[in-house]
Amino acid sequence: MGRTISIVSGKGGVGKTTIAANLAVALSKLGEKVLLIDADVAMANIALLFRLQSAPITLQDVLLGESDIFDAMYEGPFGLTVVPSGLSLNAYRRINPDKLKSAVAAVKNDYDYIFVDAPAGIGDNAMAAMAATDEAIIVVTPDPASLADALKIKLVAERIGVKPYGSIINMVRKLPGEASEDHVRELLELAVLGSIPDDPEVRKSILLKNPAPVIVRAPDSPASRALMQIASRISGIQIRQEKKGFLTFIRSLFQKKK
Amino acid sequence: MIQRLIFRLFGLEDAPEYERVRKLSVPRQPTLPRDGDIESILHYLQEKHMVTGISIFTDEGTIVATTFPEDDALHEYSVFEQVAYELVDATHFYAQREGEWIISFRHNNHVFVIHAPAYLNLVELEAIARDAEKLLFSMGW
Repeated sequence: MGRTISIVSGKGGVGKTTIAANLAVALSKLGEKVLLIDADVAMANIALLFRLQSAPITLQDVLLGESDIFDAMYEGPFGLTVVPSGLSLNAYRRINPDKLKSAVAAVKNDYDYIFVDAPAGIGDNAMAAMAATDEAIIVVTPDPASLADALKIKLVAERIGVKPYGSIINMVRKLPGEASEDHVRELLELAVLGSIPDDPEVRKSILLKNPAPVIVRAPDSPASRALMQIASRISGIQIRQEKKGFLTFIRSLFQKKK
Repeated sequence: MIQRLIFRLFGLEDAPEYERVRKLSVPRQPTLPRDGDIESILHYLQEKHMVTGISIFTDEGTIVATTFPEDDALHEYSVFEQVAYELVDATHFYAQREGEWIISFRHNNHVFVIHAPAYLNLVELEAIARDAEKLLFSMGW
């Protein structure tokens, strides 16, 4: 039986969707069988990141009871399976988020990991997304507002019976006054799975004409490396270090970035 | 000035910023009662789920536990039964009285009536029912 993990945050704009998408890709890259579900049904962005915006069947159809979750699955990089959410606001008004739990349960045995990208905050949809999983990873940025909100979401997770598994600190700039890993660990009383540096490559990956997760587009960027380390920590799979010879180095200098 | 006053009240004037965040954000955690006293279990559930009252009935309307006077609790159960009779497939009933939500629903073979200061969604109601049933089973109900 696979692990079901929701990626949550108290505050919006902390990079939750980016982390959910890249973590799912990273674990797939490590050889795990991974399903990524975009449960942020109101502000669906996973579809844009994986260029699935014209997917004919989405999670919205599943939550409307009009389709099976298997029909809303699409292939992503490294064998990852993605269930995008539709972009229609009209359909969003009619969905029943509580159906997500049974949809996740239906595929739990088929994957090593199921990641659910939850809406930010502690609203009904966010709680329904969290409750569909057994564990939650809380994404924070190293500032007091994000941490105060993260504390609240951790308490809500515990209250509804979801185990907070750990936190990820995103957009770390190492500026004076930023919360350190120790601060976050003490404050949330939760393991810090890793810190992701504020990396322009992440923004570029989203802004490009053909967006793609940063792990796919710039695997050697600092953010990609940090995400791979987190994936390795979650799965317990060691990352194979590729030995770079002189020729590879020279080739990389002339290689055009995608 | 107000912020300084709050910090003084909580004794946080000299505390680091993240300690302040913690002290001001985290409510006091309720402790699970060790004895099998049903009143203390209901009190624990009230605190944990931030609700003002809980009544639990068997499917036939016998009171298992309530934080209200028995007559009031039975009256609320009879209202639930009446509405459930009229709306056969409905599962959860929400009513608002003087700013307070009264929510009744069936879970497994129990009926719950919850009083709450704010609206509770189905996930929260499920969590209350699951916790209550787990604790009641541990007491041998």
